[in-house]
Amino acid sequence: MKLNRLTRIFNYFVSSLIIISSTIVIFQVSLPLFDLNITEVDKKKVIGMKTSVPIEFDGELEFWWLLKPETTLNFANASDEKINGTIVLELADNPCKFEESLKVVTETETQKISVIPNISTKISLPLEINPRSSQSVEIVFENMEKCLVKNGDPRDFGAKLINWKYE
Amino acid sequence: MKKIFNINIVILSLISSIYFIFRVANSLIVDTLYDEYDSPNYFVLSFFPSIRTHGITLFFSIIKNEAAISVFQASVGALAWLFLWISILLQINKVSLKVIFSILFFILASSSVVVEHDSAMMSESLSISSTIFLFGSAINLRSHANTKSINPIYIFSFGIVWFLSTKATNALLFVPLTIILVLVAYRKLTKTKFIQLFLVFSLFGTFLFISVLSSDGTKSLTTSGTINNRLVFVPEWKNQLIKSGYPDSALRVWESFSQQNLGMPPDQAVVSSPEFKKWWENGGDSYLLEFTIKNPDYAIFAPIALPMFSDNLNYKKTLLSGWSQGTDLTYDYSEFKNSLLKRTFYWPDEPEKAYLALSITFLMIGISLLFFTKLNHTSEIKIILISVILTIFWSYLNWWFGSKPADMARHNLSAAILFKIIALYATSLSLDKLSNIRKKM
Repeated sequence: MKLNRLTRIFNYFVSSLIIISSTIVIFQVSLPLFDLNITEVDKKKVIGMKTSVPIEFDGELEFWWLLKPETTLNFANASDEKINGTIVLELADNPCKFEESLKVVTETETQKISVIPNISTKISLPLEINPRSSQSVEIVFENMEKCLVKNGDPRDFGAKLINWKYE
Repeated sequence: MKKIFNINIVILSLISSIYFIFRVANSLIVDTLYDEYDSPNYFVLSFFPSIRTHGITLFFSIIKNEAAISVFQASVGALAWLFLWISILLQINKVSLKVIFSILFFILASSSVVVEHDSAMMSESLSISSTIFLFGSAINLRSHANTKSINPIYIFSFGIVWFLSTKATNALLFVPLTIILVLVAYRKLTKTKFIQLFLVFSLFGTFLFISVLSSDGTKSLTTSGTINNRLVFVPEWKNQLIKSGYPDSALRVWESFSQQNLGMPPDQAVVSSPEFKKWWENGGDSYLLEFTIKNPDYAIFAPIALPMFSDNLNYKKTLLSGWSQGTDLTYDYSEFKNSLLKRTFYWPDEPEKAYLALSITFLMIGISLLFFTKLNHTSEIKIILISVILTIFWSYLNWWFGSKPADMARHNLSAAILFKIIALYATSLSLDKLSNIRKKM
């Protein structure tokens, strides 16, 4: 009789513990993650860039030549979480040392900047990327003057992307 | 219309055939997945010691052909899930509840998280099937509790042995499962039959248990992974690690290999370093076990609430993530590009929704248990309670000795599936009992 009573108390205790655990999971674990600024993954590690132009190296430094009239940069989110952050692009001038006026276009906004010779230019844009999908950023050059080099390379250079990060 | 166990046999056969064909067809339309790192050992049958468990290596080494293994895993999986479906269906009286339960059951049984492993040359498919079969055989045993039939006991014993043979952590449940079997069998079997069963079961069970303990093929890798993914984040734990003689250089190797691709995974780079090897030979091989025993707060709370120890840790490194998310081979591997499988509402892709689904699962189990306790339905309580406790303990073993964030979902997949099955079973049964009570009133 006493054992039955103890078993019942134990069963009630475990049932309550499971229900309490369920509530804790909702409020402590699940709900905070609905805030887009809180993620379980490290943003810097799950966002990658794919470009329509090849990666090149200057010693150990990597860079990309952004070509006229426009170059597309694709930022892919490899995680299962929606990532909200800012994409930062650092641009340097083209081989012709022209001052270039360009537009950086995302799905939600467009920014205009000028890349001035011998000075690196930083541009930051908010970019929200859904789980396991990508967002494109178009770099559209407004200066139609061609920048060709004389070594047989047919590319029309716009600007040099020397660094990018997602934060 | 002809009925078997009070269920329409035509409908039963039709649904069973459709599900069986669905699983086999899926295994035929996708390519097989061969993991260069994990798969080769599953094709090597070694009697003792064995790197991988015999319940997998036996079949893989006999069948050999990957496509045939895939069909075999799909067929076994389909039969195990159908066995569980029928076992639960027999417990439900109300027809409308049988229909609702069956729909919900087959949505889960057809989800990508469950089915995709049929085509992978790994242990997950057979491990899930054995878990499902064991749970089904426990329910079947309960159905026959008041009959003289002893076959359910033999089926349950077979279920346990099969379960022990499919994954190393499964084999570690040998002792509690043996106790349960002895308690059940002792009541129903004659003395001679009990001794016969006990001897055969002990022979297989002990062999599988000892075989798992004898193998430490991946122990150094999981220790290195656990240290670098978990222990180094909490200053006190890191101090204990350094005091044990763990080399600073091994920590630096991990950092540099995880920051960029240097041609080797960070785990492998660490265990290949001479300093780590020296630490390993001087007692490092038992470090995780000693650390877990010395730090009861880590042992009890860290598996489910790691962030309480450091702000730099989150729930992705806990069992809650493993229990809620499920794997995603269908999305991650090109071999599955022809797959038509969906994750379904049981496995939301985003973690916040997956955690919500897990909490709903727990809520369903908790409320049903409360209901059964109130009505004093001891057999249902026993099945639910023992299944939940053993599943949690099984997951804890996984977490203590190796589940890193990268394989948290895969290592705890059987637990994740079983929690959802237990919730479905418990809710269906409690609603059925409730409708019976209302009918009588």
